[in-house]
Amino acid sequence: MRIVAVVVLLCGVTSAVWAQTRDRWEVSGQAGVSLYNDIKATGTSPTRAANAGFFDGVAVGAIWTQNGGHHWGGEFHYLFQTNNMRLKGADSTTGQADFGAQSHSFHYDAVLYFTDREARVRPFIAGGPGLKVYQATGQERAFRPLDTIVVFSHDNQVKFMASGGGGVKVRVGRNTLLRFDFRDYVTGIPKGFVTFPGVKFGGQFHNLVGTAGLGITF
Amino acid sequence: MGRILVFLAACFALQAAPFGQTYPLLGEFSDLALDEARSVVYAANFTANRIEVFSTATKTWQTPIRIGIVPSALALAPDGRTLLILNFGSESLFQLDLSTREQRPVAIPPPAVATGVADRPRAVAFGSDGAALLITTTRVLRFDPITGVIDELLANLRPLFGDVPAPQLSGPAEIVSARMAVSQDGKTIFAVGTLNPGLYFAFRYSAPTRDFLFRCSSIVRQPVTSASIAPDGTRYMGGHVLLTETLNPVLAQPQMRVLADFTPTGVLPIQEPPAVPTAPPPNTPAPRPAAVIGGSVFSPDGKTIYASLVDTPGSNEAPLLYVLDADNLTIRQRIRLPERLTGKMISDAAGRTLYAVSEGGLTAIPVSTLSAAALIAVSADTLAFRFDACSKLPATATFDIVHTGGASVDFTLSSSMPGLGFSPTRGTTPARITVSFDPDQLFNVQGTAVGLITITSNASVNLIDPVRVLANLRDTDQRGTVFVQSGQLRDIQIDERRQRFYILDATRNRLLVFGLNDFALQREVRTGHFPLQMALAPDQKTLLVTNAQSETISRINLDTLQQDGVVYCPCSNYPRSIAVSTNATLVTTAVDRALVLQTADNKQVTVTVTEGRMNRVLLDRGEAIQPTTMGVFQNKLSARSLLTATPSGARILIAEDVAADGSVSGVAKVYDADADTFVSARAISAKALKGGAAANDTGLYSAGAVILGSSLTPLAEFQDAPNEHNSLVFFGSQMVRTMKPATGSGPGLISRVDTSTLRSIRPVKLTESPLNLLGDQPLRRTLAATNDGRTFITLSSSGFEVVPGNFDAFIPPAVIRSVTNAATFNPPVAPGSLISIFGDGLASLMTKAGVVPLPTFLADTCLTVNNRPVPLLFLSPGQINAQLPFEITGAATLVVHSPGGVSDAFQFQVPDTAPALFSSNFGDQANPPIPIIFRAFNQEPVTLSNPVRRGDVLTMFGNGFGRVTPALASGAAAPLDALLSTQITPTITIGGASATVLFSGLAPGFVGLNQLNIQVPLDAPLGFNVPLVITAGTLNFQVILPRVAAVIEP
Repeated sequence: MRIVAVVVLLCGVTSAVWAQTRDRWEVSGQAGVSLYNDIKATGTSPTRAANAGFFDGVAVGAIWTQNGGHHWGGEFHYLFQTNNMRLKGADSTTGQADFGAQSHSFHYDAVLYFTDREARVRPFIAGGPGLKVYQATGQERAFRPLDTIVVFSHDNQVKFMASGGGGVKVRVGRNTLLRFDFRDYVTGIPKGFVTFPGVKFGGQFHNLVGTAGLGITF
Repeated sequence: MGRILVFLAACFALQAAPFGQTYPLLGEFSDLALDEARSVVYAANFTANRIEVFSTATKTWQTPIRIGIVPSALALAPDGRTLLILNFGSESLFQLDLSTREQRPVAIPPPAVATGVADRPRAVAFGSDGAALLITTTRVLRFDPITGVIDELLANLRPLFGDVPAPQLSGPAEIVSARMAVSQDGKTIFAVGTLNPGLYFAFRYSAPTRDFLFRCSSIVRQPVTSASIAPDGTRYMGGHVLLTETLNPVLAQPQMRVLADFTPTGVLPIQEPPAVPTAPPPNTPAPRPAAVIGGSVFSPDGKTIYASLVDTPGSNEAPLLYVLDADNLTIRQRIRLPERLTGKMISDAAGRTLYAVSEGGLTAIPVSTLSAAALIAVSADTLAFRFDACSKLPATATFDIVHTGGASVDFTLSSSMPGLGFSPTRGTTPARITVSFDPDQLFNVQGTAVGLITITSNASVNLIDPVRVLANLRDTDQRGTVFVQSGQLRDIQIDERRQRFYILDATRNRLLVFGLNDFALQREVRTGHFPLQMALAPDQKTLLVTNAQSETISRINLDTLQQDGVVYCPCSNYPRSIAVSTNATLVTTAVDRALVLQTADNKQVTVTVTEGRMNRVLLDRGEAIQPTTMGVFQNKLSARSLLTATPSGARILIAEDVAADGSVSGVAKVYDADADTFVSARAISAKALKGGAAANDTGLYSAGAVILGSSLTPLAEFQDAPNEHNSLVFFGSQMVRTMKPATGSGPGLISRVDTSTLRSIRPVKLTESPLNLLGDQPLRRTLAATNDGRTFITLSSSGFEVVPGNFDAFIPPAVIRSVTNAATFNPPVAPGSLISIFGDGLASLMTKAGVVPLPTFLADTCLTVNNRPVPLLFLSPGQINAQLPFEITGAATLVVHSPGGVSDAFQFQVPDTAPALFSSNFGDQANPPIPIIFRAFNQEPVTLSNPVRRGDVLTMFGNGFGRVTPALASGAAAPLDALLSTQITPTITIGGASATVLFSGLAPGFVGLNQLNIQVPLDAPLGFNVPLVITAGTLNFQVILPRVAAVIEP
């Protein structure tokens, strides 16, 4: 009985705060697809090459948004992605190999809105730094296709990440909104990909993620 | 409680050898009937004129039933209330009410037409219709015990003769003895008996339909004293003859010796047919007394026959119960009985106990306790000792003697083979027998000596098969690799299309299928009884196998390797030799014929002669038919003839050891497929033919030792003394033949035959002698060749022998260039390590050892190091892989003995250790070899994608880690149940960090292969190409690990 009374009291206090600082904070959940580019690994011989990358996967995450002004804000993102690692033969090299993998991304984006805070539709652009934890979870095998160029290694690694992209938020209720995001997360090569001595990667991973989400504002 | 009973039963059995118990009683028993409802056996006491009653519960004789007649046969009615008793001396039978003991005589009505023979009952059995089938001396009747009516089913005995011409009868036919047996459901009654002309008859009667199935008559080889039937009514046993559902006989072996051919003297499994007598001299002794044959019983599942077969009455042979396969009479076990069984044998419905008439009364045999009885088994049927130019030291082998129930049973071993010793010579089971053989006792006689170790036991109930001992001595001037195969091998056939070859084993009634590349046994296929010869059917998918002790030819499907039906031969025709032409498939058969001869004092003597007949196989109809003539020639030939077709199938050569009229001269005939008849016949030798027969398409034939031209004109006859011709084979236009010593032991010879001079050229000694030509099969195929002449296979005294096609090629002496560690192909080498020897002309062919312990003689090549024989793994002209004996250290001298002679000595040094790891290059040429190192984590080899991780346990396979403790014989595999550690424990570093050595020794189950188990140090440097260094003794070895990674994260 005492607990119920406390809950009722807290709800009353919270409602009073909302009334004063309406739409300053926003919490959203999101889900979508995660795509990667391939990076070419090349050895001394041009015919000895492979494309390293990830299979298409699923992304789910959460966003904590602070709306600081009419046209700006900031967002903290967490994103979990299930993209298995992949090797494909490049040029004349054939074969394909895969390895279980997943990632956890944490980043903070500065957000610039193109409309006012009260607008029903708010397109925005965003960008910022972050960290990405690559987890290679597959089973190591003695022999895989392309293992004289690149091999998989059951290792975890934290990589710095740059986030850039945009989206749109659409208010659908007094305190609810739909949001659609698109981001490009750029990282280096995780050490789950191990190149054979003499083989080098050229490029960085661009992780393109498109999500749809539902948020509440308060 | 059940276990206690089994234990008590086992104890009883152990104390009671032989198996079973005899309950003596005076008199002669003519028949038995089991009354399970009353737990009694009724025994017809023929001489005491009464029915004896034996209680199966108390195992005692009860008060007999006096009947005042001569009881010759009994039958218990299905309702269990009436016992029918036949009166031997009158035309009547008796009904005995078992409840009231009231007896009622039933008169047999006289036949409508008098035959002059008293119509007395001989056998009786009840069918499922409640009526009894009654065989009298002249008729077959049906008696209904309810109404008392007797119907006549067969008034004429003519059908009993089947399709065989009726013999010359001096009077009316008379059934002098008959026996009957009933299936479990009572629907099928099987009858077998003897007619007064000396023929036996058999028929099957269906009680529901009252139909008869008759089978032809044949000469009685043994008197028929019993009949039995499988519970489902599909197989029958009459005396020693097993009959199929269609009443085709499958003869039991007259001499039931499983290992007959194991004896050095070569005792034959079947009796040699007597020569045709012309006229018996005056005062000819009476024919041999009729043999005594006990009864037989099928097991409840119909898969086993228990039979007591004795063919030598009065001999000292122990009375035996044979346990036989019910399809082809293969002997499974021979059980000793307390006394000889002489008549009817019956079984209770559950098949637990057999009751049989025996010499002294009634013998009860509790076959359900047989598995718990004192049965002794031996782990090996053959021990083979091999001695050669490199190894003439005494050798040992072991085998185990066990009691199948795990109990302790006495045994005694004996042998008369010179040079053979064994220990212990007596003891109790279980026991491991160590057998040693001293090759000095072979007195440098090359070839294979054969001996036996006889095993006897006072307590065992079974006869124990002897262990065959083969001792072979060979030198490098002998050719051929011997493969041990037990059994009585009768024929060989190569099937190049399937890369197989086939051998027939008449001991265990099976076709043995071997691979033509590795000569390993691939499959065993059951055949009929006593398979003798085979031929590929025209469809090339079926192998036709003649079964010399039955009237059938087995059809073996070569795709499924299963018997796919049979071809039935004419009545009383037992197939022997078969050949396939493009037009006809011919098979010779043996036919027994009775001859009634008159002696000078006007006594008639009946003798049996065996003659040969030519038959034509009609595969689509599943039968063989016998033409009345062989073209213009009489269809009569030696029963021991051998048929062989030309490769194209255009002609078939018929080689007869002697002429059919009995004159001692070899005969050859030719069947021409185009003309579809026999076009030529010629006496070709003044002597009886002996050896193989062969034909080719160029018009050359071989029959025994005679080479014939296209018109069967003898062109040459081999004179091989002191050897004798064994077999000849054509391949293309060439010929190769084998010879064996005419007497005594020796290796025999193989040689080519010059096609222009028809003389043997460049004869070469074989490793062992080709198989003996047996008296019952003097013309026999023992040699086969591949079409290209690259491989010859001959049946030999140990089994078979493979001879390479270049057996007579000139081979220069071997030249040794280097002796290297097999892991690195570089010196040095260590004691007990695997070595690779490089050179020229090291061996005549490429082969590998297929057995462990490794042989020291392989493909005509052997090696010595410091005069010790070297176990061999692999041979080729340029490389030999072997194991350096553990005893070698310091300065060593290697010599290769090859077909080219003895090589120059090669000197090298042997340090205590020479460590190395085996490696393999799994990548392309740009990649370095990968050492054979496995991660215990995932049991996969260490590679770049499966890196060594700190803390990992690694298993490495290497070579040259030196001697082991406890010591192991060179050539032997490391045991699976004990670890052998190296005397010197190596030290291991990975990138300079010391690894923990968990085990250093021999890999269990392998010969000479070292295994190292280590744990990767946690401070091992990370990265690519990390060196791993093994140091053993004064030498070290380094390999590069592709990658070392950190401890795996969860």
